[in-house]
Amino acid sequence: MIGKPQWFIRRKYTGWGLTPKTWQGWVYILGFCVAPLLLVSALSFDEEVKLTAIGIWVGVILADVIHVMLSIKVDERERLHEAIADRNALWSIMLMLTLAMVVYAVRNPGSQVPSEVWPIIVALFGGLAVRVVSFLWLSRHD
Amino acid sequence: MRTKISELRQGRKLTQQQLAEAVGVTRQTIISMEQGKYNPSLLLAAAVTRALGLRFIEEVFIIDENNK
Repeated sequence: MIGKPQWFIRRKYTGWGLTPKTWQGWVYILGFCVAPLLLVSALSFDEEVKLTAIGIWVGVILADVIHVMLSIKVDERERLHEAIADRNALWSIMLMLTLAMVVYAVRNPGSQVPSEVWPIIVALFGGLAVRVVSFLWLSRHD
Repeated sequence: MRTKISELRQGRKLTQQQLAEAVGVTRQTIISMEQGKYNPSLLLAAAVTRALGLRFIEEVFIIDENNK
């Protein structure tokens, strides 16, 4: 794979994913993630070809990032904190989505399938906030 | 769980970072164990004991009735 785990640290307080730790990590982000996508978008290819190329490259980068995240060594205390924080985030996302569905059903009686995206966005940000608070609390109280 | 990690570490002229690297954990984990805030697994406790050059976990970790 392209990225190496020693170039990154796992995000704790700014969401899920990786943060570059070394200059190689920044080169990876800018050179492999941002630049090719900008380049393909700028070239005058057929839209379908562009979308296919971008889709394939995004898939490759996603697989690589997941591989790096799984390869980063995490000690037992960090793994425990991450598990608790992610569990709390997941529960809050599910709770917020459920509440959003109830609100939608009350406001749109008779409608079966919600078509709005805002509940998902609110739930994700809410889950992120809960994850950050969980990490802060755990780092203080262990 | 109370521990003697801090005294034993300083007696061997080790920094928290050096002990963390020897054990394979982060410095923050060593700090949490020294402060008695984090109870390590048996494997980690054994690794810390070995890194400090001792044989028995009880020489490093104080196990008493209040830990239950």
